[in-house]
Amino acid sequence: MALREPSALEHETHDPDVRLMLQVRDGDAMAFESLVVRYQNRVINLMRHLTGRSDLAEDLSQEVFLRVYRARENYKPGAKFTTWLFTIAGNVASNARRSMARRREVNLEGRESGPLGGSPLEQLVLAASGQMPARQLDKSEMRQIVQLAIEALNERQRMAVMLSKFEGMCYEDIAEVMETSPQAIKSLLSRARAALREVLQPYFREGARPPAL
Amino acid sequence: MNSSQPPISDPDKLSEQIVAYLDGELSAGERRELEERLARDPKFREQLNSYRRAWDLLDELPTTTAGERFVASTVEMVAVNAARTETPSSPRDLILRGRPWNIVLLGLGMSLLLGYVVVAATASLLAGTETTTAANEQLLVDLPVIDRVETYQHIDDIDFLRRLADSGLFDTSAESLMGGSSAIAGSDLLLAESERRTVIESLPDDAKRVLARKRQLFGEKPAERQQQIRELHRAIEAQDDAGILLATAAAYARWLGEVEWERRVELMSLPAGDRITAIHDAHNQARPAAPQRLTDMHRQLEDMHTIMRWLGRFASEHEQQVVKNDLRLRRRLEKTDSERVDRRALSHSLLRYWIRTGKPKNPDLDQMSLDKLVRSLSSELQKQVQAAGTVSEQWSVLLAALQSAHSLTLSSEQLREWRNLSVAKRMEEMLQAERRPPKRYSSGGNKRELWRYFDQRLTDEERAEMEKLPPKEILRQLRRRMQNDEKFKQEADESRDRFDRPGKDFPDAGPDRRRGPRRGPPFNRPPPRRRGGESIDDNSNKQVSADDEEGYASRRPPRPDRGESPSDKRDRRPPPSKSAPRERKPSKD
Repeated sequence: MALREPSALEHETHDPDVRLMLQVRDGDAMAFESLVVRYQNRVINLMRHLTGRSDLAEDLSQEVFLRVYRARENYKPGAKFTTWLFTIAGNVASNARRSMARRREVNLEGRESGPLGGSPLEQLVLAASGQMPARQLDKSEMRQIVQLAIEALNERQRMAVMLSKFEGMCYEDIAEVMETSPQAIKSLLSRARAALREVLQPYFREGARPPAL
Repeated sequence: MNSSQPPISDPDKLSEQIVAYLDGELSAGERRELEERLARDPKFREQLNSYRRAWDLLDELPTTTAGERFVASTVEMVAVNAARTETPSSPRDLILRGRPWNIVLLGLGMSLLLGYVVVAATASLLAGTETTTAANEQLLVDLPVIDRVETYQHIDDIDFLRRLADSGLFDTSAESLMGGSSAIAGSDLLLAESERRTVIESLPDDAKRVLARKRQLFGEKPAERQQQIRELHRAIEAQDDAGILLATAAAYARWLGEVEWERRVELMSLPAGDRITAIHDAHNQARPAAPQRLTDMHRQLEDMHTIMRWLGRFASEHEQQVVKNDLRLRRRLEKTDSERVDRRALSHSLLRYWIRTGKPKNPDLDQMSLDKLVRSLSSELQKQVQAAGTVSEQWSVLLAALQSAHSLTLSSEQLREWRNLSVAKRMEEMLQAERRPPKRYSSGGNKRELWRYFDQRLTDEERAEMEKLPPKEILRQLRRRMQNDEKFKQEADESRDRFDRPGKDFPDAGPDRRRGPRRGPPFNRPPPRRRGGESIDDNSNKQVSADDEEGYASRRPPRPDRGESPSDKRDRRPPPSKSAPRERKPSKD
C-alpha cells in the first residue's frame, strides 16, 4: 500500500520548524532567530564539508539564512523544512565551489600542510597501494585523511553523503533536496561509499598496521 | 525478490544493495534476501563490513561550531537587508506576534550607544556595566578607525591599497568629495577625547545608529585583525596622498558591495596579488560601455551649468539680500556708482555665502525654487536629489554634483591637489574657472568644443578606440588632436567669441552621425539681440561684474526687468535652418 504524501497542514502540524518558518513569513524576527539557533551548526558543518573551506563556512551559512529570509514570502509548507533549507544550502555551496574552481582554489598542493605534510592525497594513494611503511596514525592525521577522502568525491556524491550521514535523511528526502529520484540517490550513494571504502580501507584493515605517511 | 532467483552478480548492483541495506532502504523482501546471503558468504560479510567501517570513519570528520556572535550577526545582517529592501509595512505587518525587524535593528544598534550615553552622563551607573564601558572606551580611542571600518575591513594592508590606488581602477572623485565612508567628517582630526565625546553625543539618532553598528562590526573582529586595521589607518595617515588612498579604499568597498555575492567570495579568498588582477578583470567586465561613460560626463557638465544658471536667477531674485551679505560686492557697487549687479557675480556671491555659512539660508532656499531647478536636471541627478530629505540635504547633493562635475575637467595633477582642498576652496576654484576667459587653443579648448570635436572630427574607428579609455584620458587626447586642427580651432574661436557662456550643447555644425538629434546653437547663428534691437555685444551698460577687476568684460545685457534675460529668450527661439553638412576632414595625428 502506497503511503500518501503528507499534506501542508500535516507538515505545519508535525514539523515545529515549519511552524517557525511560517512565523518568519509573517514577519516574526524571533522565529527567524530561533531557526538560526537550531540550524547554525548543521548548516555551517554542511557548508564546510561541501566546499572544503572552514574559513568560509560561516559566511556561506549566513548567505543560506539570508536566502531563507528572502524566500520567506514564497515558502509553502509542502515539505519538511530541512528539505527546503538544505536545498538552499546545496545551491549556495554549489555556487561557491564554482567560484572557487574558476580561480583554482581547489588545489590540494596549495593546502596548508597538516600532520600529513604536503601532497597528502598522493600519500593516501601510496598508502592504499601498500607501498609505504606502516605506522600508527594519530587522531588528527586520521581526521585529515577522512577529510581528504570526502573531498575526493564529486559535488553531488559529497552532498548525498553529508545529508545521509549527518542529517540522517532518507533517500526520498535526499532526492527531493537534490532534485532527482530515490533510485538515482541509491546509485549515487553506492558509488560514493565505494569510493570512500577504497580510499579508507587501508586504515581499518584488520590485523594489519595502517601504512605510514 | 525470493530465494529462487539467482543472486546478484553485477558488482555495482551488489554494492547498491549493500549500501541500501546499511541505510535501511531495502524493502522487506530485499532485506531478507541479502541477510540470507550474508549468513552463507563470509566474503560478502567482509565486503559489507568494509562499507560499514568506512562509513563509520566519517565520524572522524572535524566539526565546526558557530561563533558566539553568529546568530546575532546573521539576524542583524538580515535586518539590515530587510530595512534596505522592504517597502513600508502593510497593516498586516503591524500585527506581529514577535519582534518586527526594525525593532531588532534598533535594538542591536541602540543598545551600545544607549549604554554609552548613560555611562557618559552618570558616573554612578558605571558599576555593573563593564562591557559597555569597555565598548565606549574603545569607541573613543578608535573613533577614526571605527568610523571607517566598513572601508578598512576589505583592505589587507597599505601595500594592497597602494596597488589598488595605482591601478586607477576606481573613480575616486565622488568618494573624496563625500569623505569616503566616514560618518563623522574629520573624525581623525578630533584628537582630544572630550572632543570626540562631544561630537558623538551631538550626533543625530541616525548617525548614532550607524556608528553603533560600525562599533559592533569592529568589535566582532579578532584582536589581531583589529590591530591590523589600526595599523592600516596609521599607515594611510602617514602618506602624502592620504586623501586619495582613503577615497580609493571607499570606492573599492562600495564597488565590492555591489559585486555579486559569489564573485565577492571568490575575490576575498585570493591572495592580495592575485586579487588585484581579479579585481581588474571584474571591474572591466562591469564597466559601463564607453558611450555611456561619455554621456555621463556630458550629463554631469550639463547639470553643473544648469545649477549655476539657476543659481544666478535665484540670486537675482534676492539681489538685495545677496549684496547685503557680501561686503566686497557692496564696496564695488559704491566704487563704480552702479545700481545693479550682473547675474554671474550674484550667483558666485550667493554660492560662497551658503558654503561659508554651511546652509542655504539668508536668502532661504525654499522647496518650490529647488523643485523648479530639479525638474530641469538630468533624471539621474533628479533621483539623487529627491532621495535626500530636507532642503539642506538636497542642496548638499547639488553641491556634491557641482564639485564632481568640475573635477571631470581637471588633469590628474590638478585633481590630486584639488582633493586635498576644503569644500570652500574647491568651490572657489570652480568659480574661478567659470570666470576665467575661455581658453584659447594654446591651452586646450573647453568641454563643449571637445565634445564637438569628438563627435564630428573623428572616424567611427577612432571614436571606438578612444571610447575604451578613461574619461580623463579621452579629454587629454582630444585636446592634443584639436591642437593640430587649425580649421576647427578657428571655427571654435569664432563661436566662442559670440556665445561665450556655459550651458548649452556644443554648436550644431552638421548632421549627427552617431546618436540622437543635435542640440545647441549652430555656428552661423546671428548674435542674440536685446528687446531694443541692440546687439548684446554693445558694452554700453552700467552693470558691475565681479570679473571687471580681472579685465574680463561681461557681455551680459542689462535686464529690462527681473523676468527672463535675453539668454533665456534666446533658448526658446526656434533654431534657424541648419547649414549644409560639413565635409569630414581626415584626422591629423
